[in-house]
Amino acid sequence: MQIKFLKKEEKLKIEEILKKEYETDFSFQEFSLFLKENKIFLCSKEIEEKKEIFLKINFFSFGLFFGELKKNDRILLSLEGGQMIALSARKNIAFLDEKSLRNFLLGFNILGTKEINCKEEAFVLLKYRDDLVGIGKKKKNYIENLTVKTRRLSQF
Amino acid sequence: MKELFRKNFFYLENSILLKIGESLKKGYQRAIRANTIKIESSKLKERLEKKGFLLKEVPWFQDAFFVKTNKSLGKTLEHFLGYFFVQDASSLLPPLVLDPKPGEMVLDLCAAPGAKTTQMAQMMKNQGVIFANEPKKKRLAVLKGNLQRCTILNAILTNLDGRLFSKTGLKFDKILIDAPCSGSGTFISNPSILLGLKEGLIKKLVHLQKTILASAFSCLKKEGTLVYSTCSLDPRENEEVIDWAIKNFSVKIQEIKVKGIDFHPGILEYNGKTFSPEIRKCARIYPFDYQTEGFFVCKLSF
Repeated sequence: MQIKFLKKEEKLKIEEILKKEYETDFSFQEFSLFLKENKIFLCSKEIEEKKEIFLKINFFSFGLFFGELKKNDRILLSLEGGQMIALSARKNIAFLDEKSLRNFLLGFNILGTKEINCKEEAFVLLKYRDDLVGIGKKKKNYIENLTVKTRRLSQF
Repeated sequence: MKELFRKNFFYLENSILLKIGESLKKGYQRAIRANTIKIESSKLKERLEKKGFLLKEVPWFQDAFFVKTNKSLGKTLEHFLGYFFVQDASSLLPPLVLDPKPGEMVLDLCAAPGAKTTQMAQMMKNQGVIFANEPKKKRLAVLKGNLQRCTILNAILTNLDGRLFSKTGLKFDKILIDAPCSGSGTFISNPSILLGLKEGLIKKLVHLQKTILASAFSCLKKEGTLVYSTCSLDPRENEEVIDWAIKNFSVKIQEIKVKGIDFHPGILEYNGKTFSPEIRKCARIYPFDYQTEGFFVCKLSF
C-alpha cells in the first residue's frame, strides 16, 4: 500500500481542516505525517528521516493512526487523535455525564448531553470532565457512537 | 506444591527455596506503569486512589505503582484511555537497564504484548525509532492495539523470525531481547506454569534463545548495548545462554546497577556445569524480593 509523507503545506491543510471543525490551533510541527489511502498517521521525525532504509524491509505497520479523511474536507479522528487536539478545541464538543459515559463505553449511542457548538452531521469530541473519551457523530436527537467494536468495553 | 518446587528449582540453595515457598503464601503484588505520554503519574495516582485503589510507588521506577485491589484494572476509564499499562514491576527492569534515549535506534526483538516497547517509547519521549518485532501474527494485533492506546509515535512493527532479523541489515544503538522462555519465574502470579515445565520444552527454548541472541549481535552497532532477559529462573535459559555467548562472541557482560533495587548475582553452577565467573554480573530477581515475578537480566556490549 502506498505511503505518502506529507510536506509542510500539506500538513498545514490538515491543520486548517481541524481549525474549521474544532476551532483548535493544534500544530503538527513536532511530528511527521503520512497518508495511507485516506488514513492519516503520525510518527516521529526520525522515522521519516530513515524511511529510505526501512521502507525496503517487510514491515507490518508504523506510526499512530490519527484519523481518516472524509468527504467535504472532514476528518474522523481516532480516540488518540481526539485526545491530542481536545485541550485546545472550542467547537463540536459534547460533554457526557456519568450515565451517558457508561452507555458510551459499552457501545451505545448517546442521548441528552451538554453540547458546545455542535453542528448536525459533524464529528464531535466526546468529553467526560477533562478527559476526551471518544468521537461521535451529531444526529438530530442523539450522538452516534463511533467507537470501533474492538475498543468497546463489555463491562464498566 | 512442595514437590513441584523441589523438582523445578533443585538448583537453588535451600534458603532461597524456602523463601520462594513463602512468597507464594504472601501473594503477588500487581503493578501498573503510568503512561506519562498522556498523564502525569501523580495525577493518575490521585484518580485511581479516589476510585478506591491503593497505590504504592515501585522503588526502581518513578512512574510505576504497586496496586492493591480486587477490582479489575482493565475495566477502568483510565485504562481505556491509555493512561496506564498493567505491567509486572520486575518486568520494568530490562528497559531500565537498557536505558534507551530520545533519538536512538532501538530494537525490541520479541515485543508483544508491548509493555516494554511502550515503556521504552515513554523513556525516549516518543522520539527516535523502535523496531518492535513480533514473530507471531496473532500477538502482533495485540501489540499494535497497545501501541495505539498508548499513543506511541516512534515504533515500526515487523513480523519477522527473530533468528533471521540480521538479514534486514539494520544496525541498532540498543537491543532488547526479552526472550521466549518457560516463564518459570511467573509462578507467583500463575502457579500452574510449574506443571508444564518439561525437559524437551526447555531444550528447544535454549536453542531458540541462543540463535536469537546470535542474530541480534549482528544487528548491534559497535558501541551498542544489548539486554537479554527472561521471566524464567532456570539457569539453562539464562546463565548458560550468556556463558555460551561470551565464549563464542566477542561480547562482555556489563555490571548492572539500578537505583531502588538490589539484585542477586547470576548462578555459577548448574547440574555439574560451571560457568564463567563473569556470570556473577548478571542480575536475578526472585519472587520473594518484592512479591513480583522472578526475572533474569543481563547487559552485554562488544
